[in-house]
Amino acid sequence: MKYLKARQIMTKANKSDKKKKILLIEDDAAIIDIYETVLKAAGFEVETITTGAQSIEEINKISKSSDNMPDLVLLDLILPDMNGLEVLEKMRKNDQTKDLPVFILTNYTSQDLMKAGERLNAEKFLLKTDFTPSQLVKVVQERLKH
Amino acid sequence: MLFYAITGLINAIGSIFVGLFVYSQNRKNEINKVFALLCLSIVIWSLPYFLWQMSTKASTALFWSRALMIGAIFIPITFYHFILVFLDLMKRRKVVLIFGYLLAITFLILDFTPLFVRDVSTALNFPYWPKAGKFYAPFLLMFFVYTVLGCFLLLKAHKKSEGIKKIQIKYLLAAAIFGFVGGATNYPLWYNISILPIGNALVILYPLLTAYAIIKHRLFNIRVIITELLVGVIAVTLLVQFFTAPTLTLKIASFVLLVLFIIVGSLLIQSVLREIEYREKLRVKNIELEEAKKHIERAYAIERQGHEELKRLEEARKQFILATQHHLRTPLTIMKGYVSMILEGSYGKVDPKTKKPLDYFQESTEKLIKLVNELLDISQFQMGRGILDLKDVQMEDVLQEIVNELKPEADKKGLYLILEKPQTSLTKIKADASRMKLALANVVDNGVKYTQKGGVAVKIFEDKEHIHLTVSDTGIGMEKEETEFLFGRFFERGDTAKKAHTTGRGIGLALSDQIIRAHKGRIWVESEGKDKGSTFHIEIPKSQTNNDQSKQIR
Repeated sequence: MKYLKARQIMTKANKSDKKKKILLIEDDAAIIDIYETVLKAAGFEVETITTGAQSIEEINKISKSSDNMPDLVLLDLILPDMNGLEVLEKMRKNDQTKDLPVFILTNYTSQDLMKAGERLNAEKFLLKTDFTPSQLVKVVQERLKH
Repeated sequence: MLFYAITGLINAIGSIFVGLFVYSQNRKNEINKVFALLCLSIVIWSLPYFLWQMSTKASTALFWSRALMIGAIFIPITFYHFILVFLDLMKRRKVVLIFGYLLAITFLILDFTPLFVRDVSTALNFPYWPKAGKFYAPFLLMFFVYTVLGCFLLLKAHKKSEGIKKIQIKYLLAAAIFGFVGGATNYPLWYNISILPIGNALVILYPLLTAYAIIKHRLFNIRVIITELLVGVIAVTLLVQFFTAPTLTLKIASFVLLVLFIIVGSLLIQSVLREIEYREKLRVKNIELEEAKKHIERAYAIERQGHEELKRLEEARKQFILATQHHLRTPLTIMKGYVSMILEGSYGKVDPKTKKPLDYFQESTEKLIKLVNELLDISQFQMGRGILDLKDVQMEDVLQEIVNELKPEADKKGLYLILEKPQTSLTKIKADASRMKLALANVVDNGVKYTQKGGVAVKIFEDKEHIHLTVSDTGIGMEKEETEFLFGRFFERGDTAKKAHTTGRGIGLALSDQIIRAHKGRIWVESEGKDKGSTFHIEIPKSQTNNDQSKQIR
């Protein structure tokens, strides 16, 4: 009985639990393909943005309605029109998005950039080549589990 | 016309006095000599000028007006001569000067003929003003050319010179303008142009200002001359009074007054001299200070420029490093990503036949990633000129972290990995913690990698001056000659390089060597030979004195 009840509660919880949403800000098509594929396979909803301008637009959009609010942002530092840190700065200045958890996902190993990311409250500074896609999924799951 | 007569007399007396005074100041100096010559020309012009103005007969007026031209002819050329000596340009302009003197002598020969001064006649209020002969116009041309040339040289020198010289030149220029413009007002009437020679009164400023410019920096001053003149005039008056006193009492009284005045007067002159000397010293000091200030400002400007240039280069260097990181790692991320997804079955079950090549592919990608990381580290370190971020570091803690991180790999290979450290804490040293960790991790990792049996023992201890580390493994070991090029000389060409490749050791050790050397330490390796294990020794000084690198821009 007990077990059954527990299971019912769990399914209920699962149903009410919307899919966790991840906002991927990245401009390289192959990398987008890799991360979208593995993250979706792991049950996440993934929204991808490829430019700085789109990111700003998105920040404005989600700040108007909390429905679109992502649970985690994966942010690349090289965007065609902007530095990823600028996007992060804009995000931190907006009241709705200022506390969004952000992982910087980059191929830079620079103390300066790491410090800048830290100052802007990025939770992690991850080197892309350090992770296989499934390892990255694990890091994301770890962060988003309750 | 008494006024013009007096201006002539003043010019004459003033020039005699100033010329003699300057000459007496330094008889050997070429500048003073030529200046005396110039003054002589002015005297020879202005004294007959006075006598001409005082003439009551046409014949005497004609004689004196011709006589005054002797001086006038030599004024421009002696002026030019003086400027050349003063600016030290004699060598380069000697020909122009000699030509000028020859011209002057030619005019001198013509002077007492009607070709130069034709006659005297009434002009404005002057009863006997001279009239120009045929050769007067060429003389005026010479007069104009040589004065303008002289002024031009002064102007040019003014721009280039500094300090006292600059001020002197300023005075000389002012003197030339007053003197020559003033003196030139004498010429229009020669051609019946109705302009009064009013400027003649200004001519006296010429010798005065010039003399002032010459002797100013030798602690003399025109104020002394004025004081002396004043004292002299009063003394003479008193002397006259003494001789003309009608009674004995008055004679005695005026004598006493004269004596007292001479004493007071000489004291006055002395005090004026002292004050001027003091002021002059102050002025010279001020000028020197101004000069020094200018130099310092210039130096600062240059330094600022250099600093900006350095900043630009630093920025370019950072951008280059970042671009390299991005371009090398992005394709690797993609390769690593896809191969791992394929192997994990994201695209369906992997055919056992393709699994093996994919495994190799993955392994090679990992190797390449590691190599790129090391290369980037080493180039970043080298391009950053090995600049360290020094902080207090507890070295055994750094080692403990490394051992903990590498333990799983050692366990997997069935190797021991132990850290041996003293019971009490070691002295903290100033080090760049993250780089030091990288350097030491490379060495320990190297030991684990090249050991198949046994294990790796890490040991840390200190003596008076150094922290010592040893990393001993029971691995493949190496020949003696290999120990010599293990660090850094990896990139040499020829046999040694080939040998280095056969061992397949990573370039990580080269980076370790650089980092340790940047900390003023050293690393070396000992091995009994092939398959006899190796021991890496690291020695880092406890004090990083004379190392202010952390202050530099990163």
